Amino acid sequence: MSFHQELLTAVAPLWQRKLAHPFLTAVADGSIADATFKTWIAQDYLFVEGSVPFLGVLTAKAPVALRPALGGAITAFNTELGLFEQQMAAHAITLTREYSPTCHAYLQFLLATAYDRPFEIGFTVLYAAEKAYFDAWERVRTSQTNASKWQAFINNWTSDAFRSYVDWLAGTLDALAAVAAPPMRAEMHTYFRYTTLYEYRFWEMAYTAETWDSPLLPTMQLDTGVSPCTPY
Amino acid sequence: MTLAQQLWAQHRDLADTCLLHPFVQGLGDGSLSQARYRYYIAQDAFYLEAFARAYTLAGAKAPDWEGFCELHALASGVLHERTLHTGVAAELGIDLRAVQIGNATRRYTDFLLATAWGQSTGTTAVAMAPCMRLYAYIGQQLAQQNPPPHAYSAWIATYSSPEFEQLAQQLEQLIERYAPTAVALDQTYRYAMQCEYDFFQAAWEQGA
Repeated sequence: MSFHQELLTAVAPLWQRKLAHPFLTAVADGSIADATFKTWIAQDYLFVEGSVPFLGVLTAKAPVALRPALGGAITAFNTELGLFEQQMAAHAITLTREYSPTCHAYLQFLLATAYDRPFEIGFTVLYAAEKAYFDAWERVRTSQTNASKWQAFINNWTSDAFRSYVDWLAGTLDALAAVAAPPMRAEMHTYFRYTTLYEYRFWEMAYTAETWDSPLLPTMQLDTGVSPCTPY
Repeated sequence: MTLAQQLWAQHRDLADTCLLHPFVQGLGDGSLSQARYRYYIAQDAFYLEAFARAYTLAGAKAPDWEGFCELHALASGVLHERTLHTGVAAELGIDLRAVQIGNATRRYTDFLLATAWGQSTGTTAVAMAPCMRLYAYIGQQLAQQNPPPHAYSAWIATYSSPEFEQLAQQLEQLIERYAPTAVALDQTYRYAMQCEYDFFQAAWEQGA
C-alpha cells in the first residue's frame, strides 16, 4: 500500500463521516439553504486567502525540484480567489473579514505547521486539505441529479486539472515518505489526522453557522481514536 | 494609560470569567480534583515549551539588542517555570513525553507559534501578554483570599509572587516599545485571552 493510501486508511471512519456531512449532502440534492452556503463561501474565501502565506512558507522550505509546482499552487489559489469574487458578485454576497473560530484556528494550524515543522509535515497537511476538497466535491458531483446553483464551485474542485494536481501531491508525498525516517512518517500520520479533523470541522462550522459563542475545539468530540499531535 | 493597560482593561471581562471559572476557583480553595490538575499540568508543560520558543523567536526578531536581551531573559523565566512543572509532574507520576496534546492546547500553541514566526516582536508580545498578566492577576487574587495551605498553595505562591509580576510588567513594557500601530492588536489580545479560558475549560472537562 502506498503511503498516501496508508494515511487515508488510518483515518477512514473520520474521512467517510466528513464526506457524508449533511452540508455536502444538501449541496448535492439542492436543499442547501442559501445562508448556509454563503457562510461557507465567506469563510472559505478567507481560508484560501490565508492559505497563500502557508504555501509561501512551504515553498521557501521545499526542495528545489518541488518549487515550481508549489509556486503554481500559489497562482492557482489566487485564481480561486477570483472565482470566489466572481461568485460573490453574482450572488450578491458581501465579503466579511470576520473569521469563524474554526477558520481562524485552522489557519493558525497551517501557518504554525509550515513555519515550525519540517517541510514533509507541511506538505502532508497540504495534501490532506486538497484531497479532502477533491473527495468532498467529487462526492457532490457524482451524487447530484440536477445542476446546482453553486455548480461553479463543484466544477472547480472536480476538474481534470485539480484531479491531476491532487494526484501529483499524492505521488510526491509517497516519494517524500519513502526516504523519511519512522518518526517523521509517524508525525506525518498525526498531522494528516489533525488536518482531516479540521476539514470535518470546517463543514460543521458552515452548517451550524458557528459563532464565537459556539463550543470551540476543546469540545471537539470527534477524535475518538484520533490522537492529537505529539509534543515537539 | 499604557497600551498594555488599555488592552487589559478592554478584555477584563474575559479575565474575570477565567478567574471565576470553577477550575481556577478550585485551585484557589484547594478543592480541585487531582485528575483535573494532572491534565492541566501535562498540557501546560507542553504549552510552556511553545511559549518559550515564541519568546525566543520574538527576541531573534527584536529590532535592537536591548529587546533581544530582555526577551532572552523572559525565555529563561519560562524555562524556570517549565522546570517547576517537571517537578510537579514527577510528583504526580506524569510522564511528560507520553502526553497527548489536547485540542485547546494545540489551538493556543498554533496561534502563538504562527504569530511569533510570522509577525513582528510587538505583535508577538501582544499575543503573549494575556497569559502573563492573567496568571499574575489570578495568582494575586487567589492569594488575597488567604486560604489555609492546600495542594495548590505552591501554584498560587508562584503566580502571586513579585517576581512573576515583574516578568508580566517586563513583557508589557515590550508592547509599549514595539507594538505596531497599524495592526489589529485588539483581536490578537482577545484571541489569546479566549485561548486561556478554553485551556481552563478543557482541563475542567478532560480531567472530569
